[in-house]
Amino acid sequence: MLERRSPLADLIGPDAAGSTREEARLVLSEQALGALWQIAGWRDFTAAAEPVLAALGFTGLGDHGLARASAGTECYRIAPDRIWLRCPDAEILLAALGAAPSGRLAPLDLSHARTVIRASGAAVVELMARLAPLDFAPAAFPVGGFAQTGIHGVPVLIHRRFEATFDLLIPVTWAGSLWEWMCENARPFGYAVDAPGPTSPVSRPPL
Amino acid sequence: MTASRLATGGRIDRSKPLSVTFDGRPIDAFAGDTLASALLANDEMLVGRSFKYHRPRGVLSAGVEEPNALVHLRTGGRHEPNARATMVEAFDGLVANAQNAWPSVGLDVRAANQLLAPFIGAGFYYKTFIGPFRGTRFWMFCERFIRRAAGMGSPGTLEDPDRYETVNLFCDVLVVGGGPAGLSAALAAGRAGAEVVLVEQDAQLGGALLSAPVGGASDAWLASVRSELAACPNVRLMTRATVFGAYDHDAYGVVERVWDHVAVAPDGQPRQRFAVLRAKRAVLATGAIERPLVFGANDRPGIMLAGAVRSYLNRFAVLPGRRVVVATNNDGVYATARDLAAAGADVTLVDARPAIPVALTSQARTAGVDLRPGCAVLSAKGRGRVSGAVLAPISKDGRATASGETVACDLIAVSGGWSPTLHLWSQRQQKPVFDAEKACFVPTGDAVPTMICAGDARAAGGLAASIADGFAAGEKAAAASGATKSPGRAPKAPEALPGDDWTRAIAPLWLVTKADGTPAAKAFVDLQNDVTTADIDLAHREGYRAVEHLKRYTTTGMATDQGKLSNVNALARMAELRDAPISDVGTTTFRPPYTPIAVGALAGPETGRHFRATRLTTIHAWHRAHGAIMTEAGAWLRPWYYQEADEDVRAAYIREAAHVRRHVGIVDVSTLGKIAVQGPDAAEFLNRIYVNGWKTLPVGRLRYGVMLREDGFVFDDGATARLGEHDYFMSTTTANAAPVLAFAERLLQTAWTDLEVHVTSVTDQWAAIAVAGPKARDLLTDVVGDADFSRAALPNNHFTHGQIDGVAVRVHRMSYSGELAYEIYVPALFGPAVWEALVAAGDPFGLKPYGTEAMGALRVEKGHVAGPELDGRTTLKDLGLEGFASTKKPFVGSVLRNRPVLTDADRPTLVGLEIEGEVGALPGSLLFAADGPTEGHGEGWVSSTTYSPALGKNIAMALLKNGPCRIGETVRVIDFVGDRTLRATVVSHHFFDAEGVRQNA
Repeated sequence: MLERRSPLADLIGPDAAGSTREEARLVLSEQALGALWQIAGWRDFTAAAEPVLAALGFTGLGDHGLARASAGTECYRIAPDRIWLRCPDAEILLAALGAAPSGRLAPLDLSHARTVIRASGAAVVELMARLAPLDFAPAAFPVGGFAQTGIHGVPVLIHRRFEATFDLLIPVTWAGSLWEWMCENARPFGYAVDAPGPTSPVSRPPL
Repeated sequence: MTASRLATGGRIDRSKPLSVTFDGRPIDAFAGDTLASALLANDEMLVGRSFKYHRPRGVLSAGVEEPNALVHLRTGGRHEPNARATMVEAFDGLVANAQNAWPSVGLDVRAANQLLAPFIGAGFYYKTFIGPFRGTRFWMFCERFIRRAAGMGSPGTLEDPDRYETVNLFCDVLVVGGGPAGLSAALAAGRAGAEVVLVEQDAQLGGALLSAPVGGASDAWLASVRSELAACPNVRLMTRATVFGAYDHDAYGVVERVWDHVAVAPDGQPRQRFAVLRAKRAVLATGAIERPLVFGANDRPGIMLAGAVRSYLNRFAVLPGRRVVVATNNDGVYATARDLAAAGADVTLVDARPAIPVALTSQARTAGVDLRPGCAVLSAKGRGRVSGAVLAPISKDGRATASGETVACDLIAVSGGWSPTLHLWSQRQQKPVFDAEKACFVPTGDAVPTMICAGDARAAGGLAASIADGFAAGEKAAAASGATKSPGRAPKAPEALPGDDWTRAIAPLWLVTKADGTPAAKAFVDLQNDVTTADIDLAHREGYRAVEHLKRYTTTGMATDQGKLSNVNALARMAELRDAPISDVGTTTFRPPYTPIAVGALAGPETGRHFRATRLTTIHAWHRAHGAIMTEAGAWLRPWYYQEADEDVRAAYIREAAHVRRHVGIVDVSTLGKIAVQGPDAAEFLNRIYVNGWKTLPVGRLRYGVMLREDGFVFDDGATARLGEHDYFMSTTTANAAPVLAFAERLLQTAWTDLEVHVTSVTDQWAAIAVAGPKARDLLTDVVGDADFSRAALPNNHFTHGQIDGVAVRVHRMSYSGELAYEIYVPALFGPAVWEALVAAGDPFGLKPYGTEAMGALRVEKGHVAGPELDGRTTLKDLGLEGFASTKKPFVGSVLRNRPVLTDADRPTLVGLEIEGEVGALPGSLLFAADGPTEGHGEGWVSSTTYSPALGKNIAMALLKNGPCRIGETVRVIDFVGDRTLRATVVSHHFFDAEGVRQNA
């Protein structure tokens, strides 16, 4: 079986050097996306989607702008009639999609369409303010909140996982460029880079 | 030496001397100085030359309104023109030079322009250079010389090495201005619990209070308020920052000069930061700008605004003159006169008002000021700097009533009243009204509901009034933004001396003239643009009497002034000439930016490699590692060609294209737009958006489609595969991927709400790899498991599923090159590995990668249209695609494509050209009949061009008038840019394998 290759593979390398983890007020890393599916429907979307969501442990369609989680699966209602479901295990999603009434939902696999970049650290709100025209104050963008917006002209979904941790779901073909853009904006704060997976942190050289 | 540094006092740090130069001369300066204060402290009174007449000019003000002291700053890539010396913080290593003067500011040869002054008044350029000859050619010729003779500083040409940032800010209450009103507003809003941002352009908070003597009552007030604000976690204080623009939806443009006060910003830190700030409410505590008085020779170095003189004296410990004439029409200057006298200057105060309150007169006389009520300055004496002032008693309308008396002096401090700083308010398309009692324009009530003007910005009157007004505004703004706590009582205002209210009993004096109503010498209304009272008079005589006409005809208030200094005096003069009140003349709308903004700040970090985001296919790294020379295709970077040895692009693409025709090639086509079309009505949707029919397309098949815009022109083309009952996979051209998606989404959400269809971009989900050439089938049969690629099992326009080394792929059989070809769609993150697997397996078949240039050559040989032909100006008929249009159903553009202009038989139509000779045609070349005239835009144009390895000649696709009827004709192909003419034979655009034998193999 061939392997997946991240678009950031050549940008996040063990040979990088720069701020130490202790100095850095920001840490950037790539996170595994897992499986990402979109379900979309029409006037009867609620009736069509609820069985799928129920199979995953969710009640109702959820609120716009607030991500939900259930047993490892995350649910983003990105539009009145569209929901993204993210799960480490594609089989779980596929099994749940089987609960949809025939022909009334449009499921779409986007598992290769997005790269997840995580930004965290003491200066993360300041970094985010340089990336997107949104208010990232906790009152306006609480933990668990998400928003679809543009960064450097690229459509992204931003999910606040913790007070000082944001996940950015970025189209795969833009991921490399946006990674470098984030690094550029992170420079004044000092940043370190966590290599993918449970490896020791490495840092990115000045751009 | 007349201007000098005082031995003590001021808010400068004398323990930190700085190294500063001006025009190469060392200037003594201390931390806390501005460049202007340092220049004055060193008696550098002549610091610039005027815009048009190159008259000598000195520092006029102490703030953003400075019209004269514009200088060049720094060197090399950090060079900055038109910097206002009054706003430049002195720093160690500061290098400043005078601008708009040659060879020096002291001896400027262009000062000869003054001799031409009678001939180059307002409107001179229009009258002289536009009109004498037909067209604008003469003006265009002269303009370069005029611009060289006039103008401001010179921009740099080197790359700016500094870093700039862009940031988004949000708050409940924005307070603009850190003076007493602004500080009070921020305090009230902060106490009420609102998220507050206070923006102050100065390096220090305090505004006008910083101009008061050190250690006074206002200092204690200031320290107390600053301390409380600094302790408020919900109040953000931004100094060295300017709100330069107010825009719709309560967005404000702010530039923060983060590290402008040092020679070089620390590594990685931005020199300046541009913020887009969105506020629920704003308090404009922007203060007021003092107006000059207009009198003869009022532009001489040594004539300064009275408030500025007080700033230099008390804040910077600079005494700008020893013998000072203070001229006024209001109470505000009395503090200046007192402070000057206390500092040891001989002060003569001429007040245009005949009656002055005893509190003021007695205090002035006690301080030793020679007070002359009912008098004004008729004209200044001196050339390079002021040497005297002609004082005269005046009437109510500013005319001298007796001969003048010349008083020797080295400084004239003037105050013609104050103009509230309403620029941000005005930028929201508001017109202030003229308050005759206060002699200034003031904002009207709640014209902008989310903005509150406070303090001097609405001429509240006096320090205590400003503090109370600001506090009330902050409280109101906070409540409106949702804050619920009580802010308590306003801080007690410091005790004020008489005369702190400039609005009280101000005399409406703008211009001082001789008894006959003419100025005693050239009298400037707009110092920055060299506009005199004579220019205003001329505009009036020539009918430019409306305020907007006046501004444009004379240029008064233009450029960075935007009404700061010149506006009211110009309007007042026009009102007098029109015999109308100033309120009838009105004022212009001030435009952003309030102060000049560096382009670097606006660009932020979006420069160089970050100018825009770049899009890369997931196979990009392989291309770079294997010699690909990349080319931009919109936002994408694509392999242009894979260089071998030292070959150039022509040699490379010919080699690559020929290889494909002989063997097999592989090309990354992941950039194609890919859209999932899903839903029960997907077929109907496709039927409407494409010109051809889709309802009969079975699952497992794909079909080429063309779509039009509503106006009947061709929009895009591509193949769409039916993946399932309700699932289609649409491909678009690379360039139109986003426009097609937006087009489809718009139609579904507006016109076709009856359709149950969703469209979603899956361009990022799928990598796409095209394999083309006679050996393509053999290769895929070898490498793709679980699929049958025989002609019978997989004919053209069919697709099949398979797997490559365990990765599921979908293989479309379709050809762009005209060869036996397949497109392999693979989940994007597997793209690199699948590509490598194909390359590895392709070795026995001679598989080679090819780039976009070879891909273009192959498609031109085949006669397929692409971006150059789908240019938004062509129709189905123009491109020979008419046969695709269904006659049995409507589709987007089906009505308007039949407009007469689009069905005209003479329209340029797609043809092929075989170019004679060894040189190919360039795209964009125009076509002319072989023996016809060479006139106009010709009979058509070349759209795509290549050397054809298959045919061994240069060929091109072109759109030619009556094209199909001219097969066999010889035409001339003219490249007017390169000035080259070629000859070509008109042929069918299907150059190679027109029957499709190879692609259907």
